[in-house]
Amino acid sequence: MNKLQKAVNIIITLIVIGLVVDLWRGSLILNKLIDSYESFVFIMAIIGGLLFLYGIILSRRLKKLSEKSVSFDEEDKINEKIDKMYADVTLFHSISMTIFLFLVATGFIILRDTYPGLILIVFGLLVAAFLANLNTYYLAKEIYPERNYPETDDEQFQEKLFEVMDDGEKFITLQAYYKVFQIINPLLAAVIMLASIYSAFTGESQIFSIVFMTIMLIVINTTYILTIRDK
Amino acid sequence: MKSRLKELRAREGLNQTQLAKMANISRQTVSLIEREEYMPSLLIAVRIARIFKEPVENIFIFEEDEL
Repeated sequence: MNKLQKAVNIIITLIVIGLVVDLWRGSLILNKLIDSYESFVFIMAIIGGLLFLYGIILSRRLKKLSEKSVSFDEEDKINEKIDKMYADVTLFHSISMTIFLFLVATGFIILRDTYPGLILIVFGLLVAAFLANLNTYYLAKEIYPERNYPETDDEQFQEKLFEVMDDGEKFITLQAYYKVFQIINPLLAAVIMLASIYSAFTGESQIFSIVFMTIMLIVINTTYILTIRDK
Repeated sequence: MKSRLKELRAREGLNQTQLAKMANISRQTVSLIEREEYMPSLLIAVRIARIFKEPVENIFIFEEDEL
């Protein structure tokens, strides 16, 4: 586990512990946050916007770097840098899109009557981040011209995209997916329990989301097991 | 499994990117094999062996207890 992963895990754990403690103490912080939710949306939109902007800047730098002619000695280092920068671009775009999605979803619940303009702006940012996410595919086509990437309208797009990877890359991808699978199972189960406790303590029913999270858990595990079983 | 890939690559004066292009694999895969974090598939092992004109078992060396 690298330093960035550790830092993200610590931040998420602290947020979850904070939310549980706050819930235990009568949701004082949560209620205060909801009372001035427009400020929270504004601050988070700026944070998401900065991450989005950094992703754009990074993708421009990446394009320039990939067009640069390099000497024999520095070729490997530059290519390694390109691989890492591309991963960073997708990471920044994906985090900013998730932040905007969260703000639109919660803002729509809390602020749709009082601050519809703010929600509309954040929705615009969500669309921009979504398009930037799509654009990372075309960026990959530009920086890895030797690879035979499928066209986006291809019926077997996902399958062909998987086949673009060589065995070593598939091995890395498998390790990453397995890690995600190991995280998502206990995490979803914990969130279901948390939503249940939240419903009981606050009287605000979370049954709708609990049902969907349970369905998600069943779908994920069934897909995983059936894929293995049928091979 | 031990790999002599880095040594052979140096002998031939190739960098990882060049070897990757010749073997039709990614630079990341070359790097993984050199760091002995990934055991290449038979196909990749044969392609690499052909490039260096060496038998596969001279490039990828197994300990007796691994076999």
